[in-house]
Amino acid sequence: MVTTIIEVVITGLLMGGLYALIAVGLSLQYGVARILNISHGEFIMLGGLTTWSLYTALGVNPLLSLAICGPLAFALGFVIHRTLFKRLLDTAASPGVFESNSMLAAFGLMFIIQNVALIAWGSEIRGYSYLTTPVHFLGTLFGANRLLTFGMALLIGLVFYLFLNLTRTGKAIRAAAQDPTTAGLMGVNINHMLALCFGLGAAMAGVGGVLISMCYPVHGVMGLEYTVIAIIVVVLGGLGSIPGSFMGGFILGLVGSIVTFLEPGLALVAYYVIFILLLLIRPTGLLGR
Amino acid sequence: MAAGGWTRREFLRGMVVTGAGLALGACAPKATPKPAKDKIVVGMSRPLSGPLAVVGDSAFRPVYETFVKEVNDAGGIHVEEYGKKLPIELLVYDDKSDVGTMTRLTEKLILEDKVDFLWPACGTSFIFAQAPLANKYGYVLITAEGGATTIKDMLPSLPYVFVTLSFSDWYQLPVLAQLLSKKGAKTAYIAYIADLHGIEYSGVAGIEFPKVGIEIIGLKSIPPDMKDLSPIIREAKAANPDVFCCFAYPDQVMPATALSMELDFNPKAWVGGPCVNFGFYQTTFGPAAEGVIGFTSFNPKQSDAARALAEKLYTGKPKEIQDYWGHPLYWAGLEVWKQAIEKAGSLDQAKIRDIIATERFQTVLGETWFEGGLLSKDCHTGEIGQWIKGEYEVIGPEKWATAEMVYPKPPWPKG
Amino acid sequence: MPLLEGKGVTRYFGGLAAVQHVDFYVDPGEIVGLIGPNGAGKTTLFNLISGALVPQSGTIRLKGENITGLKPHVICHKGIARTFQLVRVFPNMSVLENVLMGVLFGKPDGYDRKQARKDAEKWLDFVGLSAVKDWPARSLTLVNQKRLEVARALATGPELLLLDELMAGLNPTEVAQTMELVCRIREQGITIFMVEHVMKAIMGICDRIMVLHHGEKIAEGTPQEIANNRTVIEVYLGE
Repeated sequence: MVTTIIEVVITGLLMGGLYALIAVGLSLQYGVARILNISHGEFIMLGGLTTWSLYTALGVNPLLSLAICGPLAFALGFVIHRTLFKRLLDTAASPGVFESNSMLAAFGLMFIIQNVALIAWGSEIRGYSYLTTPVHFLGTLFGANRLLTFGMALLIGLVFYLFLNLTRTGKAIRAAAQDPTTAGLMGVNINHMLALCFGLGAAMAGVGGVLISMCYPVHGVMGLEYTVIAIIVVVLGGLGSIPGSFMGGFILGLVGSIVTFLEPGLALVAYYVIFILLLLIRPTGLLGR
Repeated sequence: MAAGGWTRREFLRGMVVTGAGLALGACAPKATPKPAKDKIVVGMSRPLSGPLAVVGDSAFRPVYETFVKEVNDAGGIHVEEYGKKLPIELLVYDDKSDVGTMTRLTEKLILEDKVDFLWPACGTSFIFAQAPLANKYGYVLITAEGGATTIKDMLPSLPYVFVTLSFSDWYQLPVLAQLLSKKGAKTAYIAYIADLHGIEYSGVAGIEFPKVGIEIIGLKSIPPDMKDLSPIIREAKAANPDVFCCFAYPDQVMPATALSMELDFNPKAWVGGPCVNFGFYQTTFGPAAEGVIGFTSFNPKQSDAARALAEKLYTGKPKEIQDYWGHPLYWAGLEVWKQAIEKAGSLDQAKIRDIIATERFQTVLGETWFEGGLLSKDCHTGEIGQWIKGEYEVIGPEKWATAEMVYPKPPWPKG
Repeated sequence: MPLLEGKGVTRYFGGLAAVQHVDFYVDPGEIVGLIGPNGAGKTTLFNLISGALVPQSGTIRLKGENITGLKPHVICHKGIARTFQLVRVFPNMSVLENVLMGVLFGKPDGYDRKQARKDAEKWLDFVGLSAVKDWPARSLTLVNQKRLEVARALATGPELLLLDELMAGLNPTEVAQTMELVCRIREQGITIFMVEHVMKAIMGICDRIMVLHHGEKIAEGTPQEIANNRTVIEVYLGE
């Protein structure tokens, strides 16, 4: 019994680490840059497929791919914000108009990235096996790759937390998340900060994709399901709250694991029930304002 | 009174002239040559994007692309009534993996584009939707990806529809049950995806396994959107069965395989649904694929024709795209289609249908024919496959086996 | 040369003129008041100066340099800081972090981490918030949030400080303390341009007052002159 509980809880936490990471990325993009990035999952997909290519073609260790895909996704996100979203921001009559326009643009972006990926990688399911060895842990077994993935997700989350709280740029991001106009008047270059946040969000997704590919097969159309999960987690944690997103990820992972243990068919149902209950009872989320 | 004014001779002459005129009129279409035709237009609604693109692009697409190229390189298909070879021209629309879009596109192909032939959409549920349409408009439809016991029941009312792919009780699981029981398997744990496909396979296994004395000690449905399968694998491991079956699609069979390795769950037989039969399964798992069992329909070693087909489809291409289950059956379906047109000497759907329904053809499978709209199970050159020394061998039925089943499977490789 | 100078500054919203052909100047070291009924365009004028809005016509110069239409952060770097009518502190940051934002970003060039913290603490001390520096900003009282805004604005190192209704909502004691604070800011050599409704405050500390009505400047002069100006009295008391 105790073993079962440990298994269920740890399984949930392992999944939650990944959810948290990708949700923090979306939270940055929505909370600061005000872009509900429907194409978030596509950056996850790009990260996963790039890692697969690097691993199978060149034998690059997936851990090394983190250092490759993170910066690449960041650059891609940064450039996309500087070109596409900056233009939408300049031409939008109000923040509301920008939010809806940017969401539509992100939808378009999703199709573009997806189709580029289909051309580049085809539509096959891609997988590789990496560290699929059992590890004894608290009296039960876990895949080494899963534990590694979890560790990396936590580490990346921690580094990012320190970055936000200890660095000048981190403070500017937090200020911009709370009040972009005032931050601008305090001398923060807002356009630069927004592009930075969008890029960082993309980088988190890319890195998340690398980690996901260590445990799950990846393919060109995998993105949207992760986008949906990320949106649920972000709402759960509170829009714009980065610690909230991190916490929300773990909660969703745990809930998923517990419900799956009881009745596998209901995991996604549980996610949506949480989502609906939240919107009804506490629309601001757990840590939202 | 009206006829009263005519003599009998006049009347007879009149009758002859009228009769001749009618006869001439009736013959006119035959006498004037058919309007010029320089190609056979084949229309398809395919999932070029969306979740099913994964399946479509690796299953039927490489087959039809290779087939069309081969036929057109030889000048086309000879059609008697035009007195020449007509090349095939493909008209492919993207249904975005959406059934509703597929049915609209199918009707557009038939009614607006007036294509000469319809080739199949991708996926069992798509066939369910497309088959009645093809039948309604009198278009021959030889299906590719998809097949189900439930469609078997529909086929008598769909004379224009022919199903090529083998499936659960046609005749895969009876063969699997026999193979396993012969090796002494006593217990099985079945995980299946909670959709038509999974329910059908688990249901048929639930009938076939007990018949041969294999007890089903666990049965768990996997929601299609489930990411982390570890609870299921843990439960299966705890049940300690001889046989583990994962009747699901690649996006779940792949992680189920990886998890079995991670959790050191190594039953004597590990059976996977549509996934194990693809080359990418072996390229992904390498030595860990050894001993994993899946579905199949041929192996290049079986005959010169099989070898030739494998070379046509796979030479110079990555191993990932190989599909020993579907590809030969789809190819045979296209061969039957071409030969039926040649035999009919016409593009007339009804004639071609009758020929397909009643005659026998020589294809890559050898002698090939349809029974009640299904490719006869006697034409299948294999049902069950297993990865043995990096090759996907046919292990059953014995008549077609290219290798002896390995049982129990070797342990997962370490490290 | 005036520190800040506007010529023909105009901004429309839809078809309505919020600010129309307004000329103004602020000399170094002055405290200039900006008054007018609600909707007169006072906050809009501040938004135009600080770069939150761009004028449709007219020019704004800082020390002779044209700053019209520059981005807010650039204008901040050039030496203009402001507070808001409705307080806009960063609610989830600590008091100290709020002021650090000003120190770290107020000037475009690099900074020294230790020095930045010292500067921030100096400004907190200046406005009397040292005791609560680690509190989250949202937990402060209104008057203290206003002081925090002042400290944060000062931390950007401005030559000109725009104060938008700093006294609104404060009790008489707090008003007196805040007036004293404004005077102390001027003693630091910082020029002040303030929008204010509390007449006692504006009459007591301003060197010069400008009156806006319906987006146009209708009067300008010393507090004494404005208090006796017939047009101004009519505008405030109604025709």
